[in-house]
Amino acid sequence: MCFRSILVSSALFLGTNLSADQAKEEFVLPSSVLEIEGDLAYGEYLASDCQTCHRSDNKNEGIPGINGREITEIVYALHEYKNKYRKNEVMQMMAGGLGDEEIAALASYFASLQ
Amino acid sequence: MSINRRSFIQTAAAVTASLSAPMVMANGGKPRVVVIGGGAGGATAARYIAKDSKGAIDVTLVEPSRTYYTCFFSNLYLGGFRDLGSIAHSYGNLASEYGINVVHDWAVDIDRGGKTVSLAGGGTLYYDRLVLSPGIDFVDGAVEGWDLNAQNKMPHAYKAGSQTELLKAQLASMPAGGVFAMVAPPNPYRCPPGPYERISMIAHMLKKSNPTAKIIVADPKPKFSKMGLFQEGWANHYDGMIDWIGSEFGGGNVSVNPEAMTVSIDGEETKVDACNVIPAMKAGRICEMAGITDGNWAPVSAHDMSSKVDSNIHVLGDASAQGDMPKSGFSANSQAKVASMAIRGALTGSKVFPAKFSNTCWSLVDTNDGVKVGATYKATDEKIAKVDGFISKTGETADVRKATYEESLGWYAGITADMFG
Repeated sequence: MCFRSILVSSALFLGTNLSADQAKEEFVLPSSVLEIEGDLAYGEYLASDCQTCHRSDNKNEGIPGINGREITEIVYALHEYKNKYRKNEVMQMMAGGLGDEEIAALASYFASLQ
Repeated sequence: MSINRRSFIQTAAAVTASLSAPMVMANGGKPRVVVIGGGAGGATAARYIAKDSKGAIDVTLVEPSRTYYTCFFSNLYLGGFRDLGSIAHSYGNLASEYGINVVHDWAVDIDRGGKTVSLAGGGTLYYDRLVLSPGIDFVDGAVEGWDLNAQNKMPHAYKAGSQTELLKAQLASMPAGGVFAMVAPPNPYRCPPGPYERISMIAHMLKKSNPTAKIIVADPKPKFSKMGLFQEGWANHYDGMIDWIGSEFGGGNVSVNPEAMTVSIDGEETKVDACNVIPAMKAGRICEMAGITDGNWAPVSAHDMSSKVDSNIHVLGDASAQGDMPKSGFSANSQAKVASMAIRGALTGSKVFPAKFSNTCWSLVDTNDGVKVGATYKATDEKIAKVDGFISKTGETADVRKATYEESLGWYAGITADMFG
């Protein structure tokens, strides 16, 4: 996957846009993180906290729906928030408490939804 | 079947059409969960238990109101940013889409030994697990001169709906240059920034319709949630309009006279044209009837929100004493998901994961001037403990504040969909 396309397509959680300066920097995750297989059942539980804002029916009324996105896109987005590479205090806080396995679980679950 | 034939007939008029759902008429030995209270905690719990158990658990939701007005965003109605209909929700989807038995009645007694709930309409509900999410009631005698009989002259408006409408009408009827007073509550109470967002919204409304009006806040606390942010906003948008009197200046020494429409603060009596009394709070009284309270609140385990008195009862949201989480709709919604997972695990053997919680409270100070505070939490053996958090900063740009407000609109749409389906 092209990194720039990840940035563009994943400027999504809670509607945050990346600044031009941010987009120039590179944020790369090691393959060991990207290859973690997410536990769907765990992801379903963890996702319930996300679905307070990111609606399970995927409608966008100010906060985007994230169902059916690519696993890699979601993993990158959450790690970028966790590392404060991407701006939004709510998402930085939510992702900040997640471990690699939890991010993988969430990505697998949201990717599995319509 | 969770209601016997006699009581079914007696209460039929108070029960929604969902009673015809098969799992009510004959639950076929399914485990039964009764949820009392259809707000952010109870509606979410009912929906998640029904949804995730895929029909394996018989879920009954007991809620007196057919239309639920969210307390969150009711301040925006006062400010003119929302109409009342936009914060009104019904339980139709929970019945039709999720097979939840929605019973519009009051729970009046709980027999913990027999695991039954008695309804005001005469029915009896049997449970294997009981979820109590009744919200708040007010502590008797908390504000001298005020009791529930005075709520039409001096509304609390801390349970949304007709009380909020009444307060708005009284504000609109104030004479030019009139005085509005708020008696703020002591900690802990529902929605820590709520009284101060309300002051902001009332100031916004009065600035347009009655710009020489005055706002007095008598507060028993020396400081409050998002204090710096609100005070910055009040100075920027409503300079000279709001007089906040904290505990250091006698704000906790208050009495009111609803007949004379006067408020006495630290011995100084003021004639007011409208007054919002928000008394000290306690858990909804059904918790006390169930015998699971310690003082004003119901202590729970942080791991599954179960009562420390009875592990078959889970207490959610404002009514619970859980540790570090503020009493908010977001918190109740988050706690409901932990409890739902634990209840499903106990009743159907589904997998149970470690509890995680989160909360964010958005407040509107003026048009497009939104602020927020949030935190994540974990379960410890002692309490729900804060892990990490953030708060908006003073001096943020207008763009940031506008984005925060727009985010809150998305959250409102999201959480109400998460509660009511």
